[in-house]
Amino acid sequence: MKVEPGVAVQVVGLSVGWSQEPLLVDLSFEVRRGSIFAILGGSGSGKSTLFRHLIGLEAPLTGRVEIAGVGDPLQARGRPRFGVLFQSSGLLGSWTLGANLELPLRRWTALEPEEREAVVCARLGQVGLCGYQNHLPAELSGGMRKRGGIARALVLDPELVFLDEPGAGLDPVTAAQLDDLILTLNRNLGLTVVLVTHELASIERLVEDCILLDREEKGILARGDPRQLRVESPDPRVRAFFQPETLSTPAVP
Amino acid sequence: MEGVFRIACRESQGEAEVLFLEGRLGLEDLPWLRRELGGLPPPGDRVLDLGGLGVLEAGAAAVLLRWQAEAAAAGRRLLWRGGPPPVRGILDLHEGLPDPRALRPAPCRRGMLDTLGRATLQLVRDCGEILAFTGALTRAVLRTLRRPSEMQWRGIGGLVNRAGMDALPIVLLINFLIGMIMSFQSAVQLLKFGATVYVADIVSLSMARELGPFMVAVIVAGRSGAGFAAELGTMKVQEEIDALRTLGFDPYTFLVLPRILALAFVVPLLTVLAVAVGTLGGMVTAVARLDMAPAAWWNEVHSTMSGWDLCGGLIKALVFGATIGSVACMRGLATRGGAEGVGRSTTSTVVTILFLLVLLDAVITALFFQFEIGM
Repeated sequence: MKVEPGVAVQVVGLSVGWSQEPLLVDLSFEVRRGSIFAILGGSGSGKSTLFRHLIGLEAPLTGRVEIAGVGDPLQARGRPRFGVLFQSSGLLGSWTLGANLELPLRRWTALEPEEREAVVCARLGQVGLCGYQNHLPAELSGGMRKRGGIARALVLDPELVFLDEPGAGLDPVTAAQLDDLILTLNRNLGLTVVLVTHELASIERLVEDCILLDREEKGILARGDPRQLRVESPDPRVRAFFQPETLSTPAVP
Repeated sequence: MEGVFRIACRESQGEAEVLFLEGRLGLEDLPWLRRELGGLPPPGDRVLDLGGLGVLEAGAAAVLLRWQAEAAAAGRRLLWRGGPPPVRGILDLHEGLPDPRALRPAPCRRGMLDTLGRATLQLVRDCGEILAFTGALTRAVLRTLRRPSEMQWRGIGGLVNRAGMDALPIVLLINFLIGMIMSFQSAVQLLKFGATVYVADIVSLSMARELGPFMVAVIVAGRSGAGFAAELGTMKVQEEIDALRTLGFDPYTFLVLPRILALAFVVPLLTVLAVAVGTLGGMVTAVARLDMAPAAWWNEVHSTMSGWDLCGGLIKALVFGATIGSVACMRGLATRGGAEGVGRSTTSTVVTILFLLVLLDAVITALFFQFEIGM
């Protein structure tokens, strides 16, 4: 299967989970190049599981994922063509931030140490962490670790990045700063961003296109521009996801 | 209104007993209220008048509803009336929640057959895990042989330092003491036959063939085996292994192989030193307690011990080192869950390694005996 022109990620007939109990069945969607695409859904809807299949860490029950320039991510070999930020940042805890960024450069490029250092410094500067290359991840705040993770995801200049809940566990100001960073990278570098989130503020600011997963449906409940889905979706579950304030909650005195 | 909880007064209204509650009803007031309710003459309804209640804590509301359900099951009624909106709100919030007794997990009674079946399935899963690990490790070895630059060679030095140099003091001390103990114990017996000179033979051969490699392996398993399993387990639960994969690194080439190689190098090296200090410890006892001259001791050792004895011990040490590294990495990479999962992996690593060390020791000794190597 070849990816259509203008498409960064194509998913066809994907079923994930366990053979006795599939979590998501027959998913098909595509991510346009240069867009910010979100995988949305409530807790337990399968967002993170789908994320792991998109980046080739798990084999699907049926169907397949195709990434432009990579093919099936499960079979991908050689220099990585996309970057990944994990929910817990995934930075190697016993390595400094600079060493974390230098690692893929050392493995996949023929740059001299000084040149690698320059790339690391520039990438860290891009995410506002210039001067932190000698810090261990444990010496950084949660938001800084996330930004460090994004810097490492970008260090090999990919055209596509996958971000798993970048704003999770961060205070609103730090989360907004991270959103700004993602937006800047998307606009300035033309980066395609696939992110998993349920932060409504981030969705409102960043996302142009999304799929909303549902545990009961075992699939996609809605797809499109979240701003349109918020007001125009005929499905009350979709409106409730985007406007939780409309849900009636018992008054607690 | 929000003062200390109390029953302001009681009234009999028809067949019902009405209790007028006042103040703040919290969890600590419930045992007393239960006694008061139970102490009223049965049968008949109990009615709680909540008009004077200032605050009803959420936990107390849940218990009141539970009492209501229990009373209904016993053919009686517990009712309430009145109450300010905040108090009614708390009760309404808990109304309609499922009975917690219905949510209790069903008692798990497993028969012997069921337990046996589960154990068999677990064994099959474990075997699958071992096969998958062996396959991935073989692939990593072949890949490294084809392209040695893919290996994290620079990391091996640090691992050797951690597993070897840091363990050196404890290895030397323990083996010195073992040598002393061996010497003393065998001297007690050999004295009866006037054959104390053979203490040197017993101590040196035991240290070279058995105790040296085994004791070093046990120490390395406890220190580095558990450490590697915990390290890789933590990396797994913190998604560091997944991150390595997405950066194009094979965890087996990057993490597992260097650790196995480091231990396969360190354990024989430590064994040589362990044999030397163990023999020295034996000599110290012999000199101090048996009046044996050091030269006589070393002459006896020299005439008894062949190169094959030491080689046999080193072969064992090599196998032990590789086994410790493999089991530790396999358990570490198989970690699931959070901190508890890391703890489980570490424990299981040490237990598995200790069992395998004894098993391998028996197998290798039998093979040496069969092929008359160093015998």
